[in-house]
Amino acid sequence: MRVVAFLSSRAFALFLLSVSVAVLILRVKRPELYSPLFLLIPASLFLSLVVCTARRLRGGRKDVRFLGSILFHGGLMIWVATLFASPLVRFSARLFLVEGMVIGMEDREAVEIYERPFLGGAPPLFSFLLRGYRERYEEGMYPVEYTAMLSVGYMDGDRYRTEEKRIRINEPVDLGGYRFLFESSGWAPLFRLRRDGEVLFERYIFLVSITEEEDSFKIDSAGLEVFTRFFPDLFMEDGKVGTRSRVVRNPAFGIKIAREEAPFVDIYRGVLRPGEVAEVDGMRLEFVDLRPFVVLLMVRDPLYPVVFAGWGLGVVGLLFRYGPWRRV
Amino acid sequence: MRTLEGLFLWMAISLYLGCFLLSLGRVVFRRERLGDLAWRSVEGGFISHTLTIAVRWMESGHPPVYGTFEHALAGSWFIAGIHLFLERYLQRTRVFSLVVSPFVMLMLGYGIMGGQTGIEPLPPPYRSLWLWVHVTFGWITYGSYHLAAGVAVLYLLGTGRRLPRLLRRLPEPDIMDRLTYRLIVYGFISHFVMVGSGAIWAYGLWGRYWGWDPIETWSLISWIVYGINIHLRVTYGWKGRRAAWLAILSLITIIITFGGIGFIGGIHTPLL
Repeated sequence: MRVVAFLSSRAFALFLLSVSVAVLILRVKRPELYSPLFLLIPASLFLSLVVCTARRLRGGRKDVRFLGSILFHGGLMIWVATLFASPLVRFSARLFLVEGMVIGMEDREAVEIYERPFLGGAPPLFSFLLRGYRERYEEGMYPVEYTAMLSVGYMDGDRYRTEEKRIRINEPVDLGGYRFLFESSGWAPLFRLRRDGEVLFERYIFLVSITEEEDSFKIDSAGLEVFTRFFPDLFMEDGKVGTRSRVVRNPAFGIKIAREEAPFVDIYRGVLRPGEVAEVDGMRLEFVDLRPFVVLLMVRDPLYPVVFAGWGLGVVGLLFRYGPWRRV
Repeated sequence: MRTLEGLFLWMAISLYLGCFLLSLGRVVFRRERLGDLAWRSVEGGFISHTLTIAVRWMESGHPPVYGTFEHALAGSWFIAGIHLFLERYLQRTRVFSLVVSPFVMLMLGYGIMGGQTGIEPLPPPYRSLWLWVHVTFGWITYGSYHLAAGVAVLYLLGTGRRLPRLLRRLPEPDIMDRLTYRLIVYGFISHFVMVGSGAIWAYGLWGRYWGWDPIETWSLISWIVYGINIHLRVTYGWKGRRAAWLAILSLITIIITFGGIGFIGGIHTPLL
């Protein structure tokens, strides 16, 4: 009985809330010190809420405000419970899709799986095709729309099905039991590196497409690191290089190449347009092609409705608790 | 910033400044007429403030939700609006202008100093109906907690020994204490709606309702802190000076949460 009394005491609840604040601040300020052991705090909070609510329900007072308090704390319990249950059932992955190329779930370079349901089986067998990518800017600078058509092929029982939908940022689509979200997009160059006719490297690279930001990638087979800056609408005047707008009209990459063992010494510096070639140390770096790419999130979270039911319960509970009701 | 918008904005700042000076004059010289003028001034400031927002909204085609300047513009409008709203229902709260008007003025100044006064279209991630719910309740939360702390400051001043003259101009301490509590509860409910609506929006944008982004985490921290605040009042009977100090100290978490938007980084800092 003493344990139950302690767990349901207000002092213990306040102590747990205060510790939660301390742990959350630690999580923001010193994330490296965060440990999964800290999950004991929400677990204790859940236990305290359950015991306290059960005791209060057995108590005498029953009015609208009491009901509101119970509903609110019930909503909180659902929230805390889903914190623990979510990793057991959630699936999430990030897909890097280049326009016009079919990608399968097994493609390790284009698909990164972050969460697999603990209780689930193998990742689903999907194939993806992106086409009709479009981006729109106001005054050539301010993005107002990114959109593309997404085709998804998947096994539905013993039948192979294909569905196609338009995707946009903020407008997720549901296909084959999964939710697909347009996260970001950009322009992927296809670079090919040759030495004496032998191809050492050939890939579409997902690089940052904002001119203000530099990006880089490594070519391990040649021991090189390539630093890039994208100019969607290149201009070159008096030795200066820049972009007139963010609209892809005259695309080019500013390129710096260094050896991996000496990253601060450039062995090549220049600007490459699609179809152009850079001669580096007896090698040829070809800028073969430029295509748009979209980063998609693929998610399945069966607990999603439960989380928001908990939230709705909490809001209703607070309104009952603090609304202008009279005790009945 | 365009000419008309700038004109209304500077008019609002001038009227808020006038309100502060007149409120101060009322307290120091005990002239009721100055109090009336101060109130007219804050009303005029609020009208100009509203017109600034309206003009900007019409020109940009979206509510003021993007960038430091727009956040300051909207946040301070909510604080001034809640202050005016309170006066309709509670007697003798006009004197709160003494703390509200300089704060609103400082917020507007901070927004202008931020240098993002130009008009930009909303980037695609912001084009969601949930943005309206999230941001509106965010600003109600912000305004309520700030006013609660402001009333708590006046409570401390009014019940202190050093300023007995001021005490006569303020509402009864008991009213101020209850008002602080009610504003905190009001903020707490709005805060909960803000967090939930943000989570729904995030699920449609990033496929998850919670991402441990610094601003998200600070928002949760401040919500728990205000939850503790309410618990201490309701279950432990905290009130008076202790509760007033608590209301003021709790505001630190809100200042970090809202002040951090655009500075701390993470998903709440516009990138696209």
